[in-house]
Order: sequence, then structure tokens, then C-alpha cells
Amino acid sequence: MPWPLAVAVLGSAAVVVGLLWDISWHASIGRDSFWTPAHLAIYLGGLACGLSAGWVALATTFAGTPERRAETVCFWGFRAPLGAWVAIWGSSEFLLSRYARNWFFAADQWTYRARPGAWRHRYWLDGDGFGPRAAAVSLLLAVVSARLGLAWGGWLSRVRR
Amino acid sequence: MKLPASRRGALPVLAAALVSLGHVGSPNVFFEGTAGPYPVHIVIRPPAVIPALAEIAVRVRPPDAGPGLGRGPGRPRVTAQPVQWDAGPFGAPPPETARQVRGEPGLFTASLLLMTASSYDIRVAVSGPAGGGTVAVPISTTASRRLEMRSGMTVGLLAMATLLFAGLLTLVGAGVRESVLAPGVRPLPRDRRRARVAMAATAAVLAALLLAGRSWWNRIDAAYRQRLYRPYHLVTGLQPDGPQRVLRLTIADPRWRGPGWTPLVPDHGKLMHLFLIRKPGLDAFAHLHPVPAPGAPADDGAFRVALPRLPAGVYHLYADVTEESGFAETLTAAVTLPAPPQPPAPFDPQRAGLQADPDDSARLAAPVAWRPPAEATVSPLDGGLTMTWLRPVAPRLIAGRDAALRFAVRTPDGRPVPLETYMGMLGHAVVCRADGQVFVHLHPQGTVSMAAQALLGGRAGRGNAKTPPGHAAMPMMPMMPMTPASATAAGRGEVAFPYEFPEPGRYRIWVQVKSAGQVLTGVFDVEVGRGA
Repeated sequence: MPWPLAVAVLGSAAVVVGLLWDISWHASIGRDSFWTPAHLAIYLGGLACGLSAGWVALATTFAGTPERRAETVCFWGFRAPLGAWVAIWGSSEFLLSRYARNWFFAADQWTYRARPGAWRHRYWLDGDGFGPRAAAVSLLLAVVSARLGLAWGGWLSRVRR
Repeated sequence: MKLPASRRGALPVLAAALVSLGHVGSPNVFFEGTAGPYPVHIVIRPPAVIPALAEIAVRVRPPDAGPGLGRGPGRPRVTAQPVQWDAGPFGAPPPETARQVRGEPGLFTASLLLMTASSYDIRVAVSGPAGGGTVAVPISTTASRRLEMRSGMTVGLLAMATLLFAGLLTLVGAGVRESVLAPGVRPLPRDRRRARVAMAATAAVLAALLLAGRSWWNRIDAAYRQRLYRPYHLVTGLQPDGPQRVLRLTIADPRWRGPGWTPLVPDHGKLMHLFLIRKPGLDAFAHLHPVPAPGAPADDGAFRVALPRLPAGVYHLYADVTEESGFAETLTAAVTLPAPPQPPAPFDPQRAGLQADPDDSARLAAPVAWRPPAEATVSPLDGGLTMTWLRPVAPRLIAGRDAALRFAVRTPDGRPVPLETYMGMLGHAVVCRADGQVFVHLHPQGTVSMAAQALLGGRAGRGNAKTPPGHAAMPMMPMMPMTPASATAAGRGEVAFPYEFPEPGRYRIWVQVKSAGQVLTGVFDVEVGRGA
């Protein structure tokens, strides 16, 4: 397995593990800071995927053999396999939109430096009930997303470079 | 992806909105009192957006008779707890422990999370070798402004959003056009056409998502603007019947007696403290106490007061009221008074069917003069007495630093004049900036409404979270217990007010004290500079 691919696999795994860890952190501990291990796993995992794919794009564009370049698609003059572009775009969106959200959700008013007191831990405990409405919505979402996923997978099986 | 453009729009209008809340333009809360044996000076800086953190600073001084403040394990421990008026101590978060500021023994700070716009009782507890005690400081918080996005941030976010938008279109195009072809095969015109169709469809979906995001954000923003604080709308009217002029004030606002409304309660014995200050020179000043019309309950929101002989002109009108929830606010208006009736008639409220209120007072002075020599520190009073501002000579007053508001009343030959309480207080100070955009009514205990403190402290003391609002809960007129230090100062004819000027500018200060049954008003002008 080429090393950029290994990095991307590990990074994606880190994002998934970090997300689960973060959810359980909120459910058990409460308010967190930017520097929890769960957040670091998410952000560093996302960053690793984007950077390794970026390396693939640079290497293929400027130092790729003709055979290697033939297996790529063109993106603003650069060349890389489609999967690398998906990883680069996804990683950029992932990091940039979180920065934007910090402003829209007034995270700058909450100041991560503020020491989370006992009350804040309690206030932020996430404990929404799971009722019939939530069950119906999640069933609908599950069906729709499964359909979309299957269609997406069908298309992906045709991707050749 | 949400376009920050939706965040702009009505901002300039809102930025100019006059906000008042137990003050006008002077949001910080100052309090001077004691927690058990310890004298404390407390400053609370409420947030302008809700929810957010309020900063509290507590300066603890050593007890008058006792050991100094210990260091290390012997130093006092300070906690602060926000108790919401209708939640009570059992519904309150646990107290936050305040940290001692490094290098400043006796100064402790904490940040308190305020989740809802309401009135709170900030309970500050101090315990140390000399004992322990709690003091309650009432504050009223509400969202008073909208945060604006800095233009650099707007440009940056727009650039990023554009990049992501274009990137996704390119990605879809490349995927449809080339990725399904065998390596090395060049795309046919048919592939290119398909790619263009896919890109157009993606652009349409993304644009729809952006529009949905924009409308979502506008809804959030409109809801926030609905919650922004606006004081009750006050309508004024002049009743010039006969020689005695009567000012009528009516709270004309749909929220008055609406949901969440609580009745007014007296603050040091008066339902409303009304201040009339003539524009633009701030030369005429009156401190009056309107009362409900005869036979009408205060809940009608209609008040009347007999006007003293004030010269003609346009007046700033500030009306301080406290609600039973402990929410203290300043209602503002402007009123134009015509020349007083001629021939001059003696002030006689009974002619207008009103009781005379001996606590009503008025003061005329020269218009404000701002050149530094005019910053006189001595103000002449009635009967040959003088009031002196005991301010440090050298430093200029700076916004955001202690204003050193200490005043002494002397006889013509320089002997101190003992002071009495005036409406339960050793003194009242009114601070007004020349443009009328900053106004606050101070006491030696600070900026807090004494009625709010009594109400909230009383509830907290009973520990009853469920006391329903009602007239039965109205407290006795609260009389501030004087600390031994302030009682000694009163004997020396001195009075002090904890305060920091919120913004630079030219201010006039009226200091009102009472001696031998007479209300005495000193007038001082000061120019406050910008901090470094």
C-alpha cells in the first residue's frame, strides 16, 4: 500500500474514533476545551488525510511518470487521482467550516480559556430523549442515506482513475 | 457553508440604539459593602450578549480590627454564585471559586456564566481567619447589542466559501468527465457535455443550500433582535393647569403588564426616581419622585409629579424604576418645558392636588464649562456651605479606572458638616455625560438598586425558589446598614461613591446630601480621558 494511502486510512480512522470519543466525552464529562484528546484526534486525522492527498497531487503533477499521469484527472491544472481531490476538498471544508462556525455559534464569546466549572459540566450534559418522532426521523434518514450510499458506491465502482 | 453577508444589514441602526438598564451607557456594577467581617469592593462587568460570561472582581480588605489578609493557606477564600431571581438558590449553579490575582493580594476574580437575560443576585462569600460572610449584589442582565463581524473576517470567510464552492464544482466536473475513463483515454465531447450538466446541477443544489442557510441565519438573527433589551416606552405630557405645572409620565408599552411583567417596587421609598437635566448645558437639574395618579394603582403605569420652577428648555428625562423581579432599569425620554408661569408663584403641589414630597429637589447651576480651570473641586451650597471634591490633584481621570468620587461638606470657616441620611442613603450622586448618552445614579453602596438587593437577598435568605410574584412580597423600605467606616465619614461630613467612568468624555456630577433637614446639591464638571 502506498504510504499516502496508509496515512489517509489512519487519519480517517482517527476522525471516526475521535468523533465517538467526543460524543462520549460530552455525555459523561460535559463541557470540553479545544485541547481534549478527542478533538486532537479529529482535527489531526482530518489534517493528515488532506496533507497526504496534497502530497500525492504535488508529486504527480510535478514529478509523475507519463503512465502515472494518465491515471489521473485534471483539477485547476494539477493532476491527481479523483480520490485525492475528494480528500483534499473534504479536509479543507472540514477545517475551514469549523473555523467559521466558531464565529456563528459565538464560540469566541465562550472563551475556551474559561475554566469549566461544575455547573458548566452539568449544563452541557447532552441528554435529549429519544422518542417516536426521533425514531421516525432517524429511520427515514437511514433509508435515504443507505439509498444514496448504494448509488454512490455503484458509481464509484466505475471510477478508473 | 453560510455566507457571512447575511450577518450584515440593519447593523448601523442597532448600533445607535440607546440602551438603558438601571443606567444609560454605564453597564458595570459597582458595590461597596461587607461580607462578614471583611469590607469588600465588588465590580461586575456584565456581558452585552446573552448567554455569555460576566466578569466579577472582588477586592477584599482586612477587617477593621483584626489581622491583615493572610497569604498562603491563611488568605481568604472567595466564591461567587449567580442566583436567578425566579430560580432561587436551589436552582442556582454551585458557587465558582474566585482566583486570587497574581501579585495583588486581596483581589479575586471569577467569570460567571449567565444563561438567560434576567435579574440575578450575585452572592459573594468570603471566608478567612477572621470569619466568613456573604453579600448579595443584584445585577440585571440582558442582551443589549449584536456582535458585528469584523470586515477582515467577512472577507476571509467569503474567500474560503468561494474556494470551497468552486472546488466542489471542479471536483464533480472532473469526476463525471474523466474519472470513469480508462487511463490515458481523452474525454469525448459527450463526456464534457455531461460534466457541464452535472456541474450546473451541483451549482443549483449548492446555491439552494446557501439560500436555506441564509434564511435560517436571518431567522436566528431576528429572534435575537427580538430579545434585545428595549426600555419601556415612556410618554410625557405637561399639564399646565394653574400656576403649578404638573408633569405626567405614562408607560405606554405592550410589554407593560404583559407576560413576564412584574410590578414596580419602591427603591429607597420611591416608586420612581425622576431626573430632569436641561440640554445642552446640563445647567438645570431636578431629582423628583412621581407618584401614581390619585386613586390609581401603580400598575396602571401612570405617574404625576409637581414641577419645581425649572427654566424653559428641552430636558433629558431619566426615570429609575425597579421591578419586583429585581430588574432595575432607566426609562428615558425628552421633554420640553415652556417658561414658568408669570408672575412667579410659590411652589405649591397641593394646588395641583398632589402631596409635596420633601425629598424632591432641584438645582440650577452655570452651564458646563469645560476648560480645565473650570474643573473646580469646590461647589458652593445653600447657606454658605461648600462641597469639596477630594480628588487627587495630579492624575487626570481615566475611563475604566477608579473615579475617586469622595466629597466633603464644610461650613464657611472650614468645619465639617455632619450628614444625615437622605432617602435612606448617606448621599446620592448623579453622573451625566454632556451628550446625555451616559447616565447613572450612584450611592455610597454603588450602582445597585437597593430595592433589588433587598428583594433578591430576601428571597435568597428564605431559600424559597417558588415565591410567586405578587404585591405581598413587597419588602420594607430597605435602609442600608452603614459600615463603621462610612458612619465615621458621615460625621466628618464626607461621602464616597465607588465608580469608574465607562467612557471618555465631559461629565457633570451632582452630589446630593442632607444636613439639618436640608437637601444640598453640589455640582462638579470633569473631563475624563481615554485610557492608555
